[in-house]
Formats: sequence, structure tokens, C-alpha cells
Amino acid sequence: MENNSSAASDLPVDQARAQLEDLAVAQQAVAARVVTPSWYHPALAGLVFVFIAGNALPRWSMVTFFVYCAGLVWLVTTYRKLTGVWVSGWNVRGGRGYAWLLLAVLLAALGVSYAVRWGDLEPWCAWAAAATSALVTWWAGRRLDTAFRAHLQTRS
Amino acid sequence: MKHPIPRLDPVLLEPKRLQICGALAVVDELEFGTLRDLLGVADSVLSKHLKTLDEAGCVALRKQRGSTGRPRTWIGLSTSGRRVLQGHVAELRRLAGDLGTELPSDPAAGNPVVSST
Repeated sequence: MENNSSAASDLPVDQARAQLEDLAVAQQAVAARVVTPSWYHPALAGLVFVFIAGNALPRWSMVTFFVYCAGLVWLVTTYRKLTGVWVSGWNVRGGRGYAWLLLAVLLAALGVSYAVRWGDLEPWCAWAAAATSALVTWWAGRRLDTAFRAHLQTRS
Repeated sequence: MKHPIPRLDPVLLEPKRLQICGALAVVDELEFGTLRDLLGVADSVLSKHLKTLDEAGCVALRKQRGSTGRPRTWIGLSTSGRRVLQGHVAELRRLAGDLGTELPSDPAAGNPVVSST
């Protein structure tokens, strides 16, 4: 049994600095480890495209929604299995803005696809909304990765 | 957000345990094998440290069955663990004479805390 009862607040300066350095090393190691596979964001963007475009097609909307949900589960599971790390975009400093932007674009695109489905807009609007949301998903995902790594490098 | 009370925690005085909590502070969860590789320690060593941290309420362990049937353990920093780490790092920075610098807070420091001591 280790004896940690000597948690003296008078830890020598060099030991305190050494502990802070250890901490920085561990966090740098995590930063180096969090490398999103190159296919992840394109795959996520593809799923978003299928979801938004499919929602405008009454006959296919259920199928594409199922494909979207199953694809998301597969994507997240595979990502976690491959990297051994999970970081939520909401918790990345500077990342919450991208997450909100993404949510707003997805909701707007979903609104457009419903409008197409109900005949209020031309079909090409759904394709445009799907393509836009897919591109924003791709872009925001990469920006989130960059924000996370930059944050870990500057804090350590 | 409230500033942490600078205080060394006995559990975190062990460098590997501090590194474990430091690594966990910037993510939501790390898988056991990944954490082991990051720290460069044996399974048994990591298990021992995690047991100590778990008993101290600093980490949350979650078992998940993998596709091969072998369970995978995911580790996250608990709320109290995060608070303890913040206080510990605040005190380390004070002792090291490194004041006014960022401290770990949320995963990836969504809400960084600046030492005011």
C-alpha cells in the first residue's frame, strides 16, 4: 500500500515543475493521438447528404433516415475502436461555435427538404441544401479537429 | 465558473496518476489500451493506478463488449476528479511560481480557469 499521506503543501519547486511537465507531456501525447481518419469527415458528409436529400423524397425518406442513423452508429463505433479516444465537439474550446453552426445549417437544410417534400419548393432546392449541409459538415469537422489540436498544443 | 481551490491531492502526487488525470481532462473518454500506450506502462501498472483513482472517485470506468467478445474498458474523468485535478494543478502552478496560467478544466478546456492566487 502506498503511503500518500505526506501530501505536504511544501512540495519543492523543482518537483512541482516536474509534475507540471509530466502533465504537459501526457496532454501532448493525447494531441498526437487524436488524428481523425481521413475518410471520417467525407463519410459523415455523405451521410448528411443522404439524410437531407432523402428527406425530400416521400418514398425514400424512411429508408434514408435509417441509413443515416445506422451509418452514424457505425461511424462513431469505428472511430472509437480505431483511435481509442472520444472527444465531443461541444467540449472543445472554440469548437462549440462550429457545432452550433453545423446544427443551424442542418436544421435549415432539413426545413428546405421538407418544403420540397410538401411541394413548396423546386426539387433542386433539396439537392442544393443537401450538398451545402454536406460541405459544411466536412468543413466544420476538420475545423473542430484543428481547434482541438491547437488548443492542446497551446495549453501545455 | 468558480476558481479551483489550490490544494495538492495525495492521490495525484504519484506522477503516473497525475498524467492519467491530465490525459483524461482533455477528452471525454480514453480506451484502456490507448491510455496504456500513451503512458508507456504495463497493463498491471495502469490497472493498479486506475483502481486507486477509482477508489478516490476521480475516474469513471465503463466496460463495453467489443466485436471480438473481449470487453474494452473506457475511462473518463469524473466531476470530482476534474475538481481535484484543477485544485492540484493550481497548487502546483503556485508552488512553481507559474501564476496566471491556464489550468485544465472541462475536456479540452471549454471553460478554462485562470489562477488568481
